[in-house]
Amino acid sequence: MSDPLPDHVAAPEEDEFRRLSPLTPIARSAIFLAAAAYTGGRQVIEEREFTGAAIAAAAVLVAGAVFGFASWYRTKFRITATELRIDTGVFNRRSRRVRLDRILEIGVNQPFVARLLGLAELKIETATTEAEVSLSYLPLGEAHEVRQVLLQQRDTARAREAGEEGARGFAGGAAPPSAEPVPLVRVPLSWQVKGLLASGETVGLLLLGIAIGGVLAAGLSLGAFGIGLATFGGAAFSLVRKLVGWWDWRVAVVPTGIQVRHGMFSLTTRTFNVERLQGVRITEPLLQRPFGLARLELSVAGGMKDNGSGDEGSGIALPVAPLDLVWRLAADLIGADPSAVPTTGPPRRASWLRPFGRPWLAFGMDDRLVVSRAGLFARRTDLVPLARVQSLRLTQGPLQRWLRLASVHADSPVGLVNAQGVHRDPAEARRLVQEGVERARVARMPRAAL
Amino acid sequence: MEELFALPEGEWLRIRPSLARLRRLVLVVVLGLVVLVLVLAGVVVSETRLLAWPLGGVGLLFGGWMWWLIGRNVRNWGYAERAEDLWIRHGAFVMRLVVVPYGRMQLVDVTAGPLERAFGLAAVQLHTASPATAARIPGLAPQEAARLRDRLTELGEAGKSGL
Repeated sequence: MSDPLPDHVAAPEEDEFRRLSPLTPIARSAIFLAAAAYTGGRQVIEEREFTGAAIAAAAVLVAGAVFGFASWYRTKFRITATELRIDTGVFNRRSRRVRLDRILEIGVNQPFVARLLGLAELKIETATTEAEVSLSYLPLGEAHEVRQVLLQQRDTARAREAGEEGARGFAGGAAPPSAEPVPLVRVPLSWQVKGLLASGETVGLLLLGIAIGGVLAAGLSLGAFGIGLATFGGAAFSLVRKLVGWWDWRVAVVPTGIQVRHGMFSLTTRTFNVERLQGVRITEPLLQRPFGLARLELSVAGGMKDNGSGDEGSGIALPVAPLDLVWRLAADLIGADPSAVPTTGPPRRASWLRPFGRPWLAFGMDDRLVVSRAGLFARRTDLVPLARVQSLRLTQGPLQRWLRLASVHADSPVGLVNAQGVHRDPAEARRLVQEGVERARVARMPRAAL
Repeated sequence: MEELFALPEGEWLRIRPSLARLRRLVLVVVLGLVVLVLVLAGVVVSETRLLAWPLGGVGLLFGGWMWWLIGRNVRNWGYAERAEDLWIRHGAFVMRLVVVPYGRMQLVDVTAGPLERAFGLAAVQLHTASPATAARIPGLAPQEAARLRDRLTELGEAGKSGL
């Protein structure tokens, strides 16, 4: 990134199709090859004859070799100034284009057999999870070279775009990276205890305790309650684990976002990058609702840094806190006021498709935010910034068509938030999508341009 | 219903009707094989033809329904490149409309299986960071697929902001 090469310097000689290493088929099917050779070879050696399994194994080997060669021959890639193109497929042909500026990271992997052959696989990561982009295999040296070229081109492409876009404010470093986290919230023990007491585990423990007490009082043997006892232990263990793991939960502000720290014995620290925040979820569990407690979880795309042990509650920003505090923190993180967003529920006839929980479904959006609510027992509110919505969808199944209903979806990257308005009046659903498209377009524009 | 999935202005671009021919061919071959096997099994097991008729009838009805559904599906498939986003509408049983801003595009695939190539067809699929997006357009002429793909990558650059 330090030396932004003009593109005509970086681009030219890479502008041709290249192939993978010719050893690729061997590296890919080594185990298979070994198995076939073993089956065939053993028979030849044991029976001193070239029949049966040996012929079959040979045929499989030949067919595999032909297909492997064809597959290798068909696979080509090319790097231009803006995109990586990979063409593959013997029967099912595919031509894939990856925009270079979308590349997040490139890994160089060497599985065992490939390593023996001095080959490596390039794994190119983008924000999609459904399509895998990889070049396997390249000679190790070439793999590193291609990786270097791709990253360089990506940075050039990004620099060019940034230039076109004009100075986009503080991307470079307006805020000095002061290292000290500023404390924001600390969850006191009393909230934790309330949250733990008002949980499914506690209720289960109580019920089981009463049952076991009853059995003992009636003078029966406890033997039949083995499973009950195991559940008892499990619930108790879960409670203790939460108490220990969520001990002394602190939220602090750091330059990139917020940082959470918690734990009684092993300290877990997690940083959430606010720029990569895809949405937040506020959950009000059934038992905690009378106490006005809720949980705040964040959905961050690939920006989560985990410097602790364990994966317990990886997206949790606040495990248990008063509802208004949770809303305030959510609003601060999202940078918009969720309570100002108008939401509406589905019409009454939606009860045919959603007999329970229909009254708690809600969906709506304003210029910045999509809000969606659901949940008969645990109330979930998902907040998604419109600028982060990947696509908007409108769907209608046959039953919905019959009942004059349709569903709206605002798609987020893989994560826990799922903003959707199910079973709406079709006219309203249509209006939401069409307005959403326009509003999202405005919301995506850089602030300076507004 | 139609206006629920309509384009705000302009016309949908349609996919080629030969996709319906391809899918119907596959349907007939697969269903034919299944029914044949079932009928043969029925004849062998019961040694009468009592089972063969209802089986064949059900197969025929199901096949007819699928035949009709395929036609509807291909007719309903439409796409439009608007100024800021790609609109895709599809579905016969479940209707779907998806609007993808060009800037959200992560990568584009053009695919063509052996049957599709025999029918002169290709599919374009656009991937965003969300697996729910499902923006796929099958049944395109290869030149149109290439044009669309180039246009999408080009527009993706203008749209920017990957995440």
